[in-house]
Amino acid sequence: MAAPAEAEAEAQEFIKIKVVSQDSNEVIFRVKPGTSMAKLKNSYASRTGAAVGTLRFLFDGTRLKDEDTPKSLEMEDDDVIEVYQEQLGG
Amino acid sequence: MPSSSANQAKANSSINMDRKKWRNPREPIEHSENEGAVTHRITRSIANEQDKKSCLRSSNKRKFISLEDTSQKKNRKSNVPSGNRARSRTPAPPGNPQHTAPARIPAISQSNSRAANVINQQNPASSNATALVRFGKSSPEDSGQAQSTSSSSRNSIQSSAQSSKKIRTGAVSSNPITALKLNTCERKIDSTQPRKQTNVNLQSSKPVNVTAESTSVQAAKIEQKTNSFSNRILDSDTNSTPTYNIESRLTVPQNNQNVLHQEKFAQPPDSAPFISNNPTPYYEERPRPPARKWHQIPQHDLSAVYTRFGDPNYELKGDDFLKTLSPNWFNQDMVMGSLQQLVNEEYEASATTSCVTFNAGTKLFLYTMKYWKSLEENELKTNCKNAVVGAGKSFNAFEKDLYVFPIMNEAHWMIIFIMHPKNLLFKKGTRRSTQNCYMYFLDPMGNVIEKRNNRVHLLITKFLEKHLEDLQVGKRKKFLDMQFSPSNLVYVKPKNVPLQTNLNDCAPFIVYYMEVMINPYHGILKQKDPNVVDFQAMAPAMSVDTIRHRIRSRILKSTKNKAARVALQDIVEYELQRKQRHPLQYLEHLSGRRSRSQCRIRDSVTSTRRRRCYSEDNKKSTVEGKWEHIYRNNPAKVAAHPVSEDVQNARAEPFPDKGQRTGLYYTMYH
Repeated sequence: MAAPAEAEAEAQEFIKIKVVSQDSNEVIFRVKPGTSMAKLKNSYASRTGAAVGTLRFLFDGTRLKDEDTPKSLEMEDDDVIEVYQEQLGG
Repeated sequence: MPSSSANQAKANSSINMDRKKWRNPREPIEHSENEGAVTHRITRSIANEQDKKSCLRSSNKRKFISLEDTSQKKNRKSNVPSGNRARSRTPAPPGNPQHTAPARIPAISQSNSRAANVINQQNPASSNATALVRFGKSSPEDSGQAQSTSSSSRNSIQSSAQSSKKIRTGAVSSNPITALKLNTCERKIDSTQPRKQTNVNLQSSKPVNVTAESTSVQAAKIEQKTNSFSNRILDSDTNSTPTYNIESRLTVPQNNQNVLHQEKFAQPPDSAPFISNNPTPYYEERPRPPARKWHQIPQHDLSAVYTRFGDPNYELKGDDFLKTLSPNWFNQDMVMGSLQQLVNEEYEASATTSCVTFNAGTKLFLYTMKYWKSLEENELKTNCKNAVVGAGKSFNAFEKDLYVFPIMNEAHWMIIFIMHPKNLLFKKGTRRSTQNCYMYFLDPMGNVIEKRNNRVHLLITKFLEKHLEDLQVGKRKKFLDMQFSPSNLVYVKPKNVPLQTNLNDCAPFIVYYMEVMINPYHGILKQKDPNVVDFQAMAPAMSVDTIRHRIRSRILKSTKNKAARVALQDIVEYELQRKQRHPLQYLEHLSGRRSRSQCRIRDSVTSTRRRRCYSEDNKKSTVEGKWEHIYRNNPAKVAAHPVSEDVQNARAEPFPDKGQRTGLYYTMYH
């Protein structure tokens, strides 16, 4: 009886966040509300093989800082973080 | 006192403020005063009588002015137009044509003083220390030089022909008595008339000083006033001979000033700085540090230096700041930061304008510009959906008057302005609004392709429709009773848009467009007809260098941290000094190369004139040989040279890193 309740509580704790790159590839992360965004950035960068410094993570049009958390940003399930590389135009 | 002179006094007081402040203590007070300040003069006229006497004495010495002079004057009078006729005789010392100091003369008096000046130049002998002009029913008077001693305007206008006659008579009759008889109620023009009477008059009656600058109408008023004024004085003064003619003395300040000038030149005051005609500058140029050479400028880690620009979320590094220099492209942080900063700068603009993040536009126009032929409805929908997500949760396109969409597409920056998007909405069951929503699409490359413009129009319409749907259906639950009318969106092509001339300057230009369009005073919101947008009328054209410079200065201005600001300045200065050269090129520069053609001949393999390096001596003449020679003889000299370190580094690693030398890296593309 207790097991599904615990599972529900765990499920509530975690948040699903989509990280969408420029070419619309999606990577889904399960994040606790308290984890810092630096962790997410690093894991995404290591997965895609790019340096963290070259990527820009945007949520709601604002750039993510390392010390941000899903809680501070008021993220919900299925929220989208966009990833951009440096876009140069001339 | 005449109002005009009072006004002039006011005007002069602002100009001569410095002069007043640094008044020469040796200078008599009258001279340092303004010309227009008549009231002061009257009060001080008693004190200055001594001066006048001396002046008159000097003028008396010249009373035997010859008949030739008068005849000349007669001719001159006919030449001088009546409007410009001088009301005063400005005495000029011979051989000093610049005796009228232009700095002190108010603008109104220019014509008069100029005329007087001309006259004096023509006839230097007629110059006096003071200018005497008579008003009213004038009487026997001093040697009025016909043209310059123009009396009241009434007289001069009425009897210009008569006065010319009188000149003739005056010239013939050197007898003062006859002249007196002749001239009863009009001005006397007799060069040979004695001055004794006038002297008496002047001494007895306190003369009134009137500015020479007064116009003819004002002169008439002055005349009346001065008459009454001096009449009163005459009544009180028992010593004076009861004369019906009243003399008012027209002082010509330039004259006195001129004398003073010479004094000043002779002995500049010790305490106060010398003040010439040139007014002291209104501002002092900020002392600048001396220009440094590129190896004297401290180098900074480009990724370590950073500042926040426009929005606290936009972070610029030293690397980005270098992109404000000429051939480099901008990245999204630069563009968004500078657009946001423009909105923040103007309080009124920030109330009406909002800047949408670039990722909305970028997502919207992804693959649409290039492959627009194969664009399908589904793709268009997905693009719109992505754009709505990209714009952010808090984005509401129907709040403000003007929305700015920067677009990044295929390595090219463009911008879209949407004005009055509220007009797109109408309540369900009612009519559409009669007013339109206007869209301006600005491409620095020029939006000449009509199909693409139509595509942009379609995409923006779809996006706004999707956005309204998102607002209604999503969590925000806004505009529930509203409906979207796509026909109210009007696409307008602005006129006379300055375009980029190379492949580097699109981003600076969109910043410039933004600056022009959102201006709260003559921007797009203030235009009468939104269908006609003329850039030439809205703002003056700006060169790209200016735009880039303005962006750079905006960044520096917004950088509050002083250390970061200095570091950014250093970075740019270093890059400008280096001129984005490869370090190895400095060797070539030092070798004293004459011309490209000579180099080509020297270096070409087949050239007969090529320097062959068979011996050590010949080897010295080549660039590398020369440095080898120096190095062999004096290695310390080479090591001490600032280039050498860079050369060693460059040889080890022929092309520097991406991040380290942005200029080099980006110029390779172009």
